[in-house]
Amino acid sequence: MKKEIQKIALVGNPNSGKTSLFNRLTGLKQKVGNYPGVTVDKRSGIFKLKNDEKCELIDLPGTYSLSSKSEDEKVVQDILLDPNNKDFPDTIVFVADGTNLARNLFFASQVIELGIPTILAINMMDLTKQQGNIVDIQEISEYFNIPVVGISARKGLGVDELVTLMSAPEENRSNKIFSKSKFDKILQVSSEFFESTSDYMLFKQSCNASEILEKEQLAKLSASFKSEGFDPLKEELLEINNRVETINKASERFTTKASEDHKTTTDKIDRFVTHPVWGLLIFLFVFFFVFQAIFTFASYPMDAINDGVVWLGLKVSELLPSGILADFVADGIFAGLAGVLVFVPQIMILFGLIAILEDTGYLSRVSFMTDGLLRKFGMNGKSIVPLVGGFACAIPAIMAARSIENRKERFITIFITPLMSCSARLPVYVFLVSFIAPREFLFGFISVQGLFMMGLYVLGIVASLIIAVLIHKFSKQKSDDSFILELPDYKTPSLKNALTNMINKGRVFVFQAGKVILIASMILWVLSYFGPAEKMDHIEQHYSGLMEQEGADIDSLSTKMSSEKLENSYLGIIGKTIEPAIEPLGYDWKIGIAVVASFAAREVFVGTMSTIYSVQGDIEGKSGLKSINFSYATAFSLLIFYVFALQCMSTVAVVRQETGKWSVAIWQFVIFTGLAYLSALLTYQVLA
Amino acid sequence: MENVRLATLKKGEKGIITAIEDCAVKQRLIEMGMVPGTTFEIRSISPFGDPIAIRLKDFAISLRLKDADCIQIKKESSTRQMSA
Repeated sequence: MKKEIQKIALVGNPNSGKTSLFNRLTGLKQKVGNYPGVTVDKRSGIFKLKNDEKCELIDLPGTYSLSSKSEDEKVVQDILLDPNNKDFPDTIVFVADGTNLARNLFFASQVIELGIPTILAINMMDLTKQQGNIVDIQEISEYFNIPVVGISARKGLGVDELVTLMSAPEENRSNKIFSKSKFDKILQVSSEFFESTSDYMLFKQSCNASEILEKEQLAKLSASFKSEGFDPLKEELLEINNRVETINKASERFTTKASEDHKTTTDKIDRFVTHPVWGLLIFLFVFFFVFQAIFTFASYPMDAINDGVVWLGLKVSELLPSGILADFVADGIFAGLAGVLVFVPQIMILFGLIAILEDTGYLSRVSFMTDGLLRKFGMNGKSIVPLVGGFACAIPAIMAARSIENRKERFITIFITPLMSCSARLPVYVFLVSFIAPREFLFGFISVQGLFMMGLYVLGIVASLIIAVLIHKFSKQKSDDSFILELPDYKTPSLKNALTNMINKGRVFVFQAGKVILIASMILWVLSYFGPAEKMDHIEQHYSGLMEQEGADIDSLSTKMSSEKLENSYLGIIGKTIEPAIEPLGYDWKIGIAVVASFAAREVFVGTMSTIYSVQGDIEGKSGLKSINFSYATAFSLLIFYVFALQCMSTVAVVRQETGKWSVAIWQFVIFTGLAYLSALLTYQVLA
Repeated sequence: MENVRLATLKKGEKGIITAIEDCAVKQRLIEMGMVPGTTFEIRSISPFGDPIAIRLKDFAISLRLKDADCIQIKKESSTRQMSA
């Protein structure tokens, strides 16, 4: 069967510079999607070969071998060990890190023996030279009997030659390390169960049959294996052992060391960066900067986007005849759109910085340093980025949890991240804390309100850790509690990589979670716009009558009208209906409306309060926010509620997207909101 | 030279891997090149005492003590230099 478009896969170890090469070849013409059933980024892109023919380039996740331990590795195994997989490549470009040849060539030799036309690209040739090593490309090519090219994906060296080789792939006639003579019988049996392109692929399929075959087929094959005395696990381990030793030995011929210890720079930096004291200080400093960047730098583009989209909505609605359609466009669609796009700067800044920190090699050191602590809570060192990121915004933070391979550890991280007090809670905290704490300073410089705020952040952290421990202890899912992490040499980061990463993550968010957020915000708009017709008509008539009077203050009248309409809308009715339930928490129906509206986004709270209170305030001779006067107990109870409650439909949408399950998102919502309710209840009952 | 487990070494100590015992990560360790005969050095120990970072010939990895415990090694006396 002839495929329409050639597929070329990039395969290689993590940190081999595979993605840099991918970015260089495809530029921004790439697509980011998901492999079916797993949350592993599938990056692919179209690019033109030398003969002007187009091909699809797929950047497979970085892995260490053809065996699978994590979701990432499963994806690679599924594709490379199944000629019928729709992503099975016509050609493979294996990207090997030239500074780390033996280990990379181990995996390369496995891939080469699959029988697929393969080109070996030895990457980081600029670095090997700097380190005073000479890599013998010719020798490697002769050893494997396949085309080999030295490149530097970062600097673009040798890439042209690589593309030339990719344009005219040779049939795979490579030398083999795998010797089939020992397995003749087994392979014959297996060949009836698998389709394969080489004996070695068949051997690998046999060893991993339990992950490839259906139940019945597997039972049959296992029975044959048993009668032949073939133990897949044992044989695979032997094969790997033999291969490592063979490649290690061969690799000695591939590089000539011109200088002594070239790793000293990395070792010197590590002496500080992973130092128990200095290392932690550097970590705090770096993450303080990351946090500030998401928190502060993002606020300018966020405001601009929000204002811009809202303005655009108004302009568009002006073109429409005034009435419900215009309102829907402005307040329903465009406001919802603003609610989606407003997160894009935070997402892009966080992922840009993550890409840079990862590129330099620093991120693995952070994981190394924090792993010991996080493990106690059922997570691992890689959870630190989502957790810290959560203080700025849970949405990019939850997306960042993708780098955690272990399912359970990733689940716990995603689950508790929304308990980190995000930046949207801040305006609510600031507003409410003013009712509780005096605007005073201890010792002249420690703000009492500031201390209170810190207490709220700590409360969120403590609750999150307790929940993490509970999940860890009671979860049926077992984590294998192993965590092996490579600590790559320090390198200068590539800005191009950072940029590509930023754009891709922004895109994924807008097109995946964005839909859910948009729909939910439209529903909220409908609830707040419509109410029982009779009542709404009455209000409208009443106010239009008032506005027609001479000397009427149109502005203040229309504000009052909208707040009265809100009170009588379905949202208002919801607020009044739940009043009995929230009364023990110290809230009236007005707070109820604001709390319900907050589920669109927490920061809506303050705005909604000011709208609702505009009616009330006028009677008391004050207006808007100033007219709000919460009791100490009510404000405290509200604060506690906001610390815990998952009032953010964007988070719910992202959790569903990242876990692939509505059930996780819904449980999280129910548990956090339940916790919020009970804690607020307790707070109010004790204080009131 | 003493025959011990990797997890017992202190920062800066060097050794040669003599065997990998059966454990959850045996295959991964071998795939990463940690076969008998490989020389290494304990580069650093994380602030919480676990994991540890070990440096091999061409790269460094972080290992939890639990995983490091299944690696049998021979300790090199401190006077001998690691062969790079």
